[in-house]
Amino acid sequence: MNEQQLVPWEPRESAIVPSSAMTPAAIIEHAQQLTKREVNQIISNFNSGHYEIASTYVWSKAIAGLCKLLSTLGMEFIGEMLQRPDINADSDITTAVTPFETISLAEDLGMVSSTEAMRLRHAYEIINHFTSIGPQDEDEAVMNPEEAISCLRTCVQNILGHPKLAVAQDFAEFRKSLEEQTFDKDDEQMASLSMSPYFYLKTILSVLLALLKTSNGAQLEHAVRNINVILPLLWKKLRKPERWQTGQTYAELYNDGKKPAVTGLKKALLKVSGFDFVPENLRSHTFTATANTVLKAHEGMNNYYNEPAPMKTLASLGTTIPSPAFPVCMTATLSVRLGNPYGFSTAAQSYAQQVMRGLSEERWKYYLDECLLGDRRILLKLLNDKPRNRWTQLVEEFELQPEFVTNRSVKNLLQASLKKDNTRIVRIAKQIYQKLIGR
Amino acid sequence: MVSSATDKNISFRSQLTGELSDFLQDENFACSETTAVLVALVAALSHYKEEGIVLSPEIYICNDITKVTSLLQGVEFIKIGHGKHNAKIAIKILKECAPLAQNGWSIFIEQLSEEFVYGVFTASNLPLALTPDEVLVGEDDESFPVVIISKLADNCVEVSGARGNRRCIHFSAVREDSPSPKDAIDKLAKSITLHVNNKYRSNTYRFVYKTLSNIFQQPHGALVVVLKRRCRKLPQSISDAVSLAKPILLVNRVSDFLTLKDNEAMIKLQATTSILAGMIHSDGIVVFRSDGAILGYRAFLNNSSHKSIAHENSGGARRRTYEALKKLVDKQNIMGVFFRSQDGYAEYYGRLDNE
Repeated sequence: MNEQQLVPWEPRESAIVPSSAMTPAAIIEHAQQLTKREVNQIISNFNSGHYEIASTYVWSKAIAGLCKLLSTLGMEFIGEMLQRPDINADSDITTAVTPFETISLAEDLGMVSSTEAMRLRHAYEIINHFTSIGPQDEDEAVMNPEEAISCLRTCVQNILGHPKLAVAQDFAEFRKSLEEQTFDKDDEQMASLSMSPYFYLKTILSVLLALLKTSNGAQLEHAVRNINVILPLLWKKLRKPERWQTGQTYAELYNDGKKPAVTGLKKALLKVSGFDFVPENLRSHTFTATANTVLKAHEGMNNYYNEPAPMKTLASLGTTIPSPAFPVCMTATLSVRLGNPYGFSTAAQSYAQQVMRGLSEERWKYYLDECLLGDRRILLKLLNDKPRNRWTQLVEEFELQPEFVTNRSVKNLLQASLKKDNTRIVRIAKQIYQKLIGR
Repeated sequence: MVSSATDKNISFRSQLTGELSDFLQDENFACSETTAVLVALVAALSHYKEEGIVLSPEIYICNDITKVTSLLQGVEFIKIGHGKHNAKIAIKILKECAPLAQNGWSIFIEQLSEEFVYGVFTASNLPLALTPDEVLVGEDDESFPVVIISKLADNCVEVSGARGNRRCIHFSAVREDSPSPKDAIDKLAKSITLHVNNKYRSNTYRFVYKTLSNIFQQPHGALVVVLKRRCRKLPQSISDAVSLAKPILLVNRVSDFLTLKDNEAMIKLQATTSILAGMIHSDGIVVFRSDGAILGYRAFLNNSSHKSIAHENSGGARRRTYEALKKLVDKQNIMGVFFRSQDGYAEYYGRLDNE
């Protein structure tokens, strides 16, 4: 991270489970959120060799706890952070948000460190893999005790071991200040804002846009004034997906008839000449919703069987993908194409190829230069062998040449991909990812 | 002996030109040609008819139609013609565009350095979407100059601008401080949604206000009664009515639209607009309830209520019924009454609070 960059909020770091705790019993004694009865049942399953059952139960308790905390922030805010217009105040977080998204939000809001987020994702992949196995594969793939203990440790360390989970204190305070006070562009906080890592700018923008959509009265007045102070400070630094996110919010507020918020955002967009990023209509909602269904299938159980249907629908929507929906459509398509560490859905491949073959050179360039840098899902896939191999095949197949892009990191990534230099691909993907999350 | 009698023609023109010239200056749109065209349009629009049919198009004057429409959603515009900077073009524009400027379409006039370009445009027609004038008019210095002309009632035209200036011009003998007909519609919509659940009140109000404003674009009189919430039956005084066996709950349709955001919910909400228009255009009184429900239409005041005031008032049957209904407010569960005459003047009388 650049030395001049300022970090508005930091993840919590605390060792709940000592490294000396090696057995399930020694680890689980720190799980303050589990009842004695639950603890006994989990240990009993471990002792009987029922590792899948024990791990799945621990995981479901942990992810439910995380979801419950995140939902207290308001579902509109969650929807804005994930850029999911299908999530509204009445959405149920456990069904609307995938575990991958839940972990990413926890990471973004400073509830877990990026290392622990990686461990949680890994735990989820292991559990998802073993629970998706059918009777025909039963003999060749069973969870081993080390994998089960690792899942247990991660869940207790990050979620179940805490008497009460909380978002980073600094983030909670900053969010509150955006709705309770009006900033001036000369305020110290505003001056430091422009030096913060990109991820923070993106989160602050999401908080403000969510406030415009949901708040009323004095809260809305503060949000309107703050967007007029903050958007001009951020605009030049914002990448196109976040600019489209702002324009998309204007379109949604307009069609929902929210006049005070539209008037405020209109002023801010006029200040930055941002109306080029306001979509002409809300057609992108259909694409976004379908792409999110693909991602939900991809990250859920039995993904190889569940991916083809929504991927087929996405491909059938046509190749003229509206700009606000383009990043998520690419994430969904590439997720299907690259698969996960255990394989990919064969039946969904032809539909993913159909979408990718329909992309013009400019659209590929736009994805690589503007979207990939913020595409957490795809960057994390490049850290695993199988998806990485499929990525290098893709770069070759679609002739994604380094000179084709302007961003230096992406240029290097494409060079390494064409040379099939795995070590370099991993290093560059990690660098981009760390820059993305500001760690 | 020399006669002192004088022969004098009185015209409103010089006063109107002065007022509108000041208005354009306040809107940073000062230009003598635009003033002349604006005066001609305002005067013509106050009573504009084609083939005997009254037309009330909304007219937008701007410097750059592309920039202006970039602020709107779902826009489509069709250029119809062009002409030199001259007041005579106003009538040509109305002749060619006014018949097209209905059902969500409006007229635009783009003032270029050499000429005017004109045509029609439309923007998002979703049930709760903002209207172009709501987006373009406000206290907004950064916006592009735009002037909007709209007819509020017969002989009553409103001119508004992007910087928030407004002039309501009455071509009649009404007092200068007379309320705009829009105020009465606003009060009626507020009263119909007064007891709607907090979560959906502002959206239901918006739907009702927008729907009624659209319906009242047509030159048709109307009488509306708003009953108190929990009122299941029509009051005795207006029991001669088509009473709906199952009230139409506007709030449910609005909440479905907001939650589901699908085509079916939108079509259902738009269908409500048509049915409400039909009820208002029928003879008699339309009956609402303050929790956003339609209870009935074609309601008539019974004889005994009517007779009591029949001799006290001049005016037509609708006005007399309105006066009689005013006396029933706060009695028989009636919370408020609304009257609109065929020429566009409107009044609301009744409660707008929770008591």
